[in-house]
Amino acid sequence: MRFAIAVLMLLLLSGCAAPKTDDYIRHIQSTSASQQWVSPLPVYLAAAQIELRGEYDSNNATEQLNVLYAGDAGIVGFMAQVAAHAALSNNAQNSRLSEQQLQANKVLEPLAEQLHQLHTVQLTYQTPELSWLAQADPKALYMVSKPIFFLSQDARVLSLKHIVQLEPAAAVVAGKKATALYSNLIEVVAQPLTAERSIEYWQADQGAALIGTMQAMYQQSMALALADVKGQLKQDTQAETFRLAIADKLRIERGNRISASCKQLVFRNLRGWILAMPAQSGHCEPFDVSVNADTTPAASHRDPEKT
Amino acid sequence: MRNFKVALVAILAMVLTACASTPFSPIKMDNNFYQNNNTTIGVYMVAPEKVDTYLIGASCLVCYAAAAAANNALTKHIQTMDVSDFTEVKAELVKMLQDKGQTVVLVEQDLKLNRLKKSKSKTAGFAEQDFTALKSAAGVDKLLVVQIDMLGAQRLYNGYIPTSAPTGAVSGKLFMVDLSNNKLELDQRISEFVAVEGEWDEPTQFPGVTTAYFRAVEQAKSFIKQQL
Repeated sequence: MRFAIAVLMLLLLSGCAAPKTDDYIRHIQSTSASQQWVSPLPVYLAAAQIELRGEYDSNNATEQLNVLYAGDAGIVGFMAQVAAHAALSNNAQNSRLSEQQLQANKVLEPLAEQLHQLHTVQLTYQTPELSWLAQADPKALYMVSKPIFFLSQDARVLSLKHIVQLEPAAAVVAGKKATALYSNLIEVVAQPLTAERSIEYWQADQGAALIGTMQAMYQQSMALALADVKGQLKQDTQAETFRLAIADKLRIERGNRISASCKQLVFRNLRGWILAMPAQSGHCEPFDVSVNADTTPAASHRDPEKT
Repeated sequence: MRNFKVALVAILAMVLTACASTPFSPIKMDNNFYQNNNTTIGVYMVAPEKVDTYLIGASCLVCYAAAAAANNALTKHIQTMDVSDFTEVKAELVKMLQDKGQTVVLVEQDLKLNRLKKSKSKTAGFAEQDFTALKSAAGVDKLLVVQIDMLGAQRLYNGYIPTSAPTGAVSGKLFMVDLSNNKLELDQRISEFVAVEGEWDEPTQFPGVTTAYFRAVEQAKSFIKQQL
């Protein structure tokens, strides 16, 4: 009996969960999302201030804590040790993640002045498809938008992880969790800057290039999210492995191609997230229009390397 | 009494010596290797028959049974992956070597490397097994071997207890042996373990672990190609 309890408990604990990060969401795509679509769709920005973080490799912070168990503690003692191990391990990982984030945020110090002036309202844009809400207001359906921007440690690459959730209005107003009709993460990575002038580029003209690039990335992410909700993104491609050289780093992703141009590759990864990555020149394919013309981004990316 | 102490120390020393293992010293290919193109190189791969989960440290029988049960859904999914995502690299290696002016053949027959006899010579820089017997069987002068021991997802255990989340894993050996004298022209360890980005426990498709696996595959393939 004791053995059975121990095994059962271990099975339950075997999840050995990875630490939670806020740039993660499970992809949900309900068929009723497109049916309940209203235009313009109200968008509720989850934060007033634009969140910009230093980028770091979270993989280094997810190693587990090793603990030796006392063998003579009995079944209750053993269970207590396992529970303590799980709690310690999770706590240690979360604290390592926080430490790494604080360390990574040092790249933003030269941009302190510009960061104070960044508000999410600056990301909004004119489109007949969306209406922007200053405060919650009961409607049929809301899009909750949570953009998080990241700047690489060499300040060359600005990226956006945009969490979008289509939820019933009452749940958003009441601040309660509801079953989303659609939830996804849209990641957009801007064209890398040349190495020598990256920080100066973002600082110039009171951060004009910074907010301009953020706006373009946000618009594209929103356009991709809307097209996805409506089921307009290409879905019939085979899974492939993408090797993407972004600045000096190689990024390997697995997913299904949505569209490719000389400047950008858009694909859906295995989690269902949509990623728009800078493509290497020389590996271009003819532009593939897989997103309907009326849902393509209103503004194109700036090309910092040419400025 | 003194003799007894000496004998005890000698026995202890012998026992402890047995525990020590020779540290692995990698061998890189000589810069002039490709100047000699009068030889035929065989490319040979040994890889697991299926992509799998590896539960390292769940050493007792019951521990392993509990760990296997706990990771059953992950194992089921990971086994749906096709080994060819990795094994296709052997064709790329043949082409790479041919592009460098070498005569290359892909050795498809089972050479049964685990049945090779131990080499009589223990000299550093020479293979521990006697590969010279394969010269006529494989019909080549030099044999490039990609020997994969682990292909899939690895999870560490301490008995019953998981001490890590699963990682994408490709590990094994890469070596080239001259079949005329058993000399190693290349000897490297393949060791690619890639952590899952974010949450890993995402049944039934485990996209995070699957992506980590494909990253490990790509990194291993890159590593192998870089050695040639």
